[in-house]
Amino acid sequence: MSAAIKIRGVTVRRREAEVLADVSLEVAAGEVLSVLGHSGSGKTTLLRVIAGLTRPDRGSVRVGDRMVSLDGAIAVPPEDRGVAVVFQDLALWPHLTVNGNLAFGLEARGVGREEREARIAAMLGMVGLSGRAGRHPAELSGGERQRVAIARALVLRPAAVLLDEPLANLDLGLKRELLALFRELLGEEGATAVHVTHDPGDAAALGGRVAVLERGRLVHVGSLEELRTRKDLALARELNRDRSV
Amino acid sequence: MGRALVPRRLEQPLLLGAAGALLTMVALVPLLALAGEAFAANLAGVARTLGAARTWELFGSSLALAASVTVLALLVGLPLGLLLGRADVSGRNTALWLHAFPLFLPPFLLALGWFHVFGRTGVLGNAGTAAALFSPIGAAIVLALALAPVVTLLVAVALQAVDPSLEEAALIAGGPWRTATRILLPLSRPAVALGALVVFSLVFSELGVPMFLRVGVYPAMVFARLGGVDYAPGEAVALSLPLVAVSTVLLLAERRAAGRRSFAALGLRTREVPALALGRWRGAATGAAWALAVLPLAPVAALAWRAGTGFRELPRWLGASPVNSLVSTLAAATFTLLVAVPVGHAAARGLRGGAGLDALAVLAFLTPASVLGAGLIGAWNRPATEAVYASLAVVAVALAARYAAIGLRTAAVVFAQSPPHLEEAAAVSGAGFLRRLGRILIPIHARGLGAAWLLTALFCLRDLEAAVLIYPAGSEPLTVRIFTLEANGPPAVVAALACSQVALSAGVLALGALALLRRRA
Repeated sequence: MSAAIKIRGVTVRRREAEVLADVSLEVAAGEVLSVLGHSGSGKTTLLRVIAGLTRPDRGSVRVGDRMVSLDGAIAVPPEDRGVAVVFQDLALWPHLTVNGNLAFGLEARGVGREEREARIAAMLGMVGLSGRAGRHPAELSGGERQRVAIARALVLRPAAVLLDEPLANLDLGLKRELLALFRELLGEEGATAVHVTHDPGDAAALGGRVAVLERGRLVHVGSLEELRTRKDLALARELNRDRSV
Repeated sequence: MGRALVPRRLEQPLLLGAAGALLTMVALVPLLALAGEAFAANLAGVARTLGAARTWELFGSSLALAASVTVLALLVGLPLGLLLGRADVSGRNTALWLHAFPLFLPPFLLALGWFHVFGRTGVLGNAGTAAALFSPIGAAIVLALALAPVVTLLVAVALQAVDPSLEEAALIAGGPWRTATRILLPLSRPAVALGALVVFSLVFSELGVPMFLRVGVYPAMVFARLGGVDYAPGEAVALSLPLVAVSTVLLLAERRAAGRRSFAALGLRTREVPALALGRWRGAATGAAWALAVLPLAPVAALAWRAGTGFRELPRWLGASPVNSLVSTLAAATFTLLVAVPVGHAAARGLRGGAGLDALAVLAFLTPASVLGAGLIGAWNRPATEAVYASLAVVAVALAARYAAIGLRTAAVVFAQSPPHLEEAAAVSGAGFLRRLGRILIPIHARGLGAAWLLTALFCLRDLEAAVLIYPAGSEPLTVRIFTLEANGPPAVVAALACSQVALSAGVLALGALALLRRRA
């Protein structure tokens, strides 16, 4: 399978400290990769580097066939990378309706009105929000807002979806329900996804490989089961203690 | 899809560059023109002007006046900001609005009002009160009462922006008094510093109050050489040089004291926290806060009382001056907003060029108006720009140069309030900067940007110092009309004209506030 995202030797410094240190990673087309790590490990920074929101000081990032960042420069700006991000705080535009939130990116990419409406209707149907198109984010429940955020990303049919802990701070029941929905949607759309989380349970629910970051260094890439065998990693020890995963 | 006229990645830098060029044209070119004239001037003449004892005597008086007014404004504004911003004072929002209103009036108008209270023929006046009013101490008190709302408002807004959890943690651990003095006031330090700088620079530029109260100040010396009996433009340029030095020092102080922190410090809190309980002090504090808050309105009441029959003669004396005020204000505030959106956004987000352009606007604001006026004359009084220089447009240029910082800083604060994620989400959805600006940033921040426009407009409307040096014959704004009639016009008519200025500012404020509140609803 060809690589949808290829990261080579990426380093990001902030005030002398290395937030990411020489990280290399590949995500295959259609793969769901979960990036695990504690707070401050560099997970979100890695996602922002892929999206083009943070400039790497060194190294390169490829999305599909295009070199999008190279050695301290952003070669392709975020709006032209063809990726979509689901932010931790969801970042739904409060002045636009659900329909407006989904239409915005399609309009920006020049999708015609008929196709736009058809894609939005289909996507809202998939996330169970068909009757909510005219509502504003403030008029939705927490779970509905999460669904809008994922729908807004997937409706663009992006080269990759980048999920920045969108399920943090949710109660367990809602989290399980949404994880199942994410898995189903990502599978149906055949989307490539990078999912950042501090919770191995979320990674297990989405399936796929996991990458582990510790203090900006990539220390493991493989299955969750392989991670369990890495006794040298704090996250693996925590994982083994937690019988629920 | 059609091919874009400008590559999307260049949209933001090109728009910022265009805004920067406009800002440079109105704010930097006059200062450069002034510098050019200073170099071209006869050095011996410059040395003679700057070597005169009277020059430095007035310079010292101006510094002393600005410093004493700043201290007095802090003494009034700090406790009042705390009481009206965070304590359970009865009717604190109404008191804050009433207290803020005189800030939008030219200070010389308030001096005129105090004259009708404490002048020899005033309501409470006698020879002693008149002598006290017409003295440096009288000028300092008049200016402090006029400008204390700057500090009050900045402190109140900054306190309301403090993270509620910080305040709640302090309340649980230490009670309201300790929370107010050890947590809230230190957290509002950037706002206090900014307030002190704004007051200092406004007083250092002030022409109307010292001239009316016959207190010698440095800007009046420059003014006299540009528009008065001692016409000598070369000397005016020489006299402007120390003022440029002061404004540069103020700019450096502003960068150090507030800088980018001020954007975050002047936010709006996301959830309400109950006001600090004053307990048994509540009654006394409410009385004191209300007394202090409405005191600056006393001269407005005195003007209305004095105007009496003067209102009947208003149409004859007003002429086109209210229209001139409104047209130049609308043009300057709209121009400022157009510049403020891209520059304020860049400054708030730390984008390249944002900080430099923000510093330029702040420098123009901190530069005494007489210096800016001298520079504007040098820059625009040329055959090629005659159409601008000989029309009301030059007043709008002067106002935009002087008050761009107000709109720009407000816009920057507004942009800094929203999480960058809203904008980043639009970028990764495929939207270039112009689309993000038009569809996301401006709609989300419409009310805040409207407030930036309104605040700039209110400061333009109250201006005397920038316009008085440069207005073409027949195009004077209302403030200038009142100022020129103040000494020799019929007192009742002058008071009625002053009331018209109050009504004009109140009208613009009321309409603007109504529009903003309707938008929220």
